[in-house]
Amino acid sequence: MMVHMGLNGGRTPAGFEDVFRELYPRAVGLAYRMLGSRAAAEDVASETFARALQRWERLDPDRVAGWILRVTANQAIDVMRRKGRHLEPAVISLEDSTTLRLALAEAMAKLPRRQREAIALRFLSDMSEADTANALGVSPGSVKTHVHRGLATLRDELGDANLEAVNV
Amino acid sequence: MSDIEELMVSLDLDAALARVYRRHGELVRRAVKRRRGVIGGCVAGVAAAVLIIVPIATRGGPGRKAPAPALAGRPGPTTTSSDPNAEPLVPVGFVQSVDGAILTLTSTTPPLHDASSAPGVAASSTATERARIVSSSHGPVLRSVTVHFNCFRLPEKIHEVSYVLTPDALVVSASISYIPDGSACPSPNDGPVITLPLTAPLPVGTPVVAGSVLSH
Repeated sequence: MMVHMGLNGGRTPAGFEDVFRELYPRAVGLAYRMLGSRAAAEDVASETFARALQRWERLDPDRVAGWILRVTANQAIDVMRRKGRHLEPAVISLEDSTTLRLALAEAMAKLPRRQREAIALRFLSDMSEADTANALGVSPGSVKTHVHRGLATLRDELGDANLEAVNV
Repeated sequence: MSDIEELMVSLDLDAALARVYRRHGELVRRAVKRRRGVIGGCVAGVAAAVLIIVPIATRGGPGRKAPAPALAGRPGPTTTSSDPNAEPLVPVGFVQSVDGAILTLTSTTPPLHDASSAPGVAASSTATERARIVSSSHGPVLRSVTVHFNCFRLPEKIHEVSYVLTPDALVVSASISYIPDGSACPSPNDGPVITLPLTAPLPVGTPVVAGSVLSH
């Protein structure tokens, strides 16, 4: 493995800092869309990159972006779960972005893993269908299927208007 | 520009990167602690590739000199020491056996894993050329030798540490196995230390050299 001196004063895997500078803002943006808190979003993104650094040698360079955004989305959902907040459908309101985000995270947590990851990458991280397919290691057709089924479930949970309001 | 786009361009990436490195350090330390728990703490946090042998001398009164050694083929010279009846201490977790000139300390606990397939570790490799003596004794007699293992890879278990007295020197050998995933140890100078009692005291100046380090 190629290494060089990094900001930490030690040996940093080659390429890590470049990937960090490119993807960290996207990871924060993705987590922010789900959590609605800058501090919480940065915590989630930092945790994701620390885990990425731990297994950097084993990550496929062609799929590292997908891995990071996928793990970020899953961690954001975990954060929501740990908070243990549950929303009744009646309190979900278009006017209140916080409750909308909570409802979205809650609904996404109920989806099968592949559907959840496909929607997080495709809509919350604005990845193309081809990039999403590459990140998940599946075909673009499979991404379409996962997204279609996942959105149908979210629509049932949140309603069309709410889904649009959170950019999904 | 949306609020998310504004957020993304306003991030302090250097500070964020420093935070990632700190968190990564915590994850690494936590993983090391977990592994230390697995190996029971007796040989925790370190690994062995190089044998370093430190002869340890007992203190004696001025002018007391050990007689010349009778080294050949014997576990030690029949000399007097400051306390000839003192029983040498057996390290905790080991049993001692003596067979002619060979004293052997064998671990009493079974290995946690069969580490024979550990990556990067040959089934039986010697490291004699990597062994060295780091200090010499100053007292009148040697009653024990201390074996320092350098940190190379997390050890699973030290199976055996033994010595044999040859006509030329006291030769110390060891046998060790490693944790199968080949995890690195935290510090190169942080290896386990085992002290071997000698069955009989040796005169100062007896050469103490490293024998083989057998890796399982």
